[in-house]
Amino acid sequence: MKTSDATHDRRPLEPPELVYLKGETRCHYTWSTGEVVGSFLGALRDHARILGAVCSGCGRVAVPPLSYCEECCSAMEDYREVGPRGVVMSWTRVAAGFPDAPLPAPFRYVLVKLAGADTSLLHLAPDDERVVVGATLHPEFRKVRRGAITDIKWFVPDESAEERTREQ
Amino acid sequence: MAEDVAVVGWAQTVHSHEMARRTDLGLAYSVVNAALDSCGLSIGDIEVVIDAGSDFLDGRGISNCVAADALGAHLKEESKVAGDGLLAAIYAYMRLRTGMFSTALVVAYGKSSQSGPSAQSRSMAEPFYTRPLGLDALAAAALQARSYTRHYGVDGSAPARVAVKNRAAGVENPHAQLRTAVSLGEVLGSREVAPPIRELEAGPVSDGACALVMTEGSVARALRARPAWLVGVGMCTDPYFLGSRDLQRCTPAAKAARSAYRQAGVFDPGRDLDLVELSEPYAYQELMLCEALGLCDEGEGADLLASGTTTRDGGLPVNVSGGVTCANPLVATGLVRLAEAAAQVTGRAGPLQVRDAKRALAHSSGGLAMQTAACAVVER
Repeated sequence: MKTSDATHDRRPLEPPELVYLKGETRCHYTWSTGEVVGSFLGALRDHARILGAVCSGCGRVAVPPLSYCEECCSAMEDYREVGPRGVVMSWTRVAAGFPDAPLPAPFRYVLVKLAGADTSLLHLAPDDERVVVGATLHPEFRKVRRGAITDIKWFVPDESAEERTREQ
Repeated sequence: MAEDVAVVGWAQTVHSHEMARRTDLGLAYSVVNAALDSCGLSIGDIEVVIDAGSDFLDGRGISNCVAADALGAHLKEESKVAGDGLLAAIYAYMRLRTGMFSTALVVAYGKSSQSGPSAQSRSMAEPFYTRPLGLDALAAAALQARSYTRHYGVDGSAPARVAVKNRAAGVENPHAQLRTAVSLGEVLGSREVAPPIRELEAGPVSDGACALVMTEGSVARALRARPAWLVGVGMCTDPYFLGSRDLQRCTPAAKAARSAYRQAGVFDPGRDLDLVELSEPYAYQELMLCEALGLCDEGEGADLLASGTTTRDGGLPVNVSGGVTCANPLVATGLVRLAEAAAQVTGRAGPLQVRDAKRALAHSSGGLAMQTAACAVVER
């Protein structure tokens, strides 16, 4: 803040330095996940199992499930367990962290087509050179699960999941 | 019903990474009068205003409540598209075609420097399955790039060559943000920001705005000896979820183009178009889009590029403006494509002018990894 006593100075003003204002939009949401998304998240949390939704019109199995079929607009009301293994359809690497990142960098994003699903699930994977297109991955569930897509920590190459099981 | 509709005036900002001397609305306002001046109309002649903006970039909900005054919409019909400005132009085209209006002003603006592009694209993510994973536009594009290049066995250097072509073209564009050429070695040697996408294969993020004046035929003929007739439009959207899409091809762009071609009487786009302006925030997208738009066969985008056809002096120049590789004012990007196309077919493209350009296609994309597409064909 600046004060001035030159209230009667009528000389032309010099253009000021640009003035920046800082702000943010705060809005808290409580999203009901509804019956369909909620069923998927509940199955992750309570049973560490992955559900797809079956389209009543075209029979497509969507993972993650939605209440509507994106293709034929029919209702999706039935569920089918899918996976847990899946095949990598695409991947990329995140080298640097960012606010609210799901994992410490580096990690990979994967599109993984789970057994029995007609769509691919976007999820995370370790930055492991075995995580490539065509590789089979297996979900690693968190011990404490709260009903979120991140209840699956990430999908790991099959071999390392088995190695881990052997080590335990 | 109005039989024909033309683009008669246009203006765009010189796009830059931060236009600190103007607010977001100041940016939009700066092109409103410039577009009117370019065709000799005044704001009193405008009957309807259609605008495109982003609530998130502006930091205001239903942001056109505040914006409308800056867009000259005082006591006029005004409506906003929450998407790319080319959609706003198509909405205006439809309004004019109904015969309810004879003049329209279309304005699109985006001031990304206020918040940041990653935050913007993450805010677009639905909250249950995507947002907790932090996916942004770059990572989504990278997943698409790998699907596409792997499926068709596209050479890893092809996207880099797109960037080299577009950066060379952008040198001549007085409105571009990046006006320096880059070598293939520089692009290939740049950091993999989200493999397979390299840093120099990603367009910049720009502050910028664009405005168009559109009118029905009789007004256009009175204003201009040679208006840019809007003769075909199309829009299409893919599913939101990447895993529900065919990421190997850009089906929405193909369908939007097919619709625009049918209306415009374009039968062989490679022969019937004189130039194409694409929205390709990431270089690989130009290859996919050339295929989707029928400029070459499926999987042959890299061959088309290698043939030299899409360079400024080639048979069908693509992005002679430098495209989005050289300036990416989010929300305004696609409307800029239409302004460039209109300037070309009316012989007013200055240093970018393609000789004897009669018919051009403008394309825009929206959402993550080109979820939505819009196409417009203009001719003289």
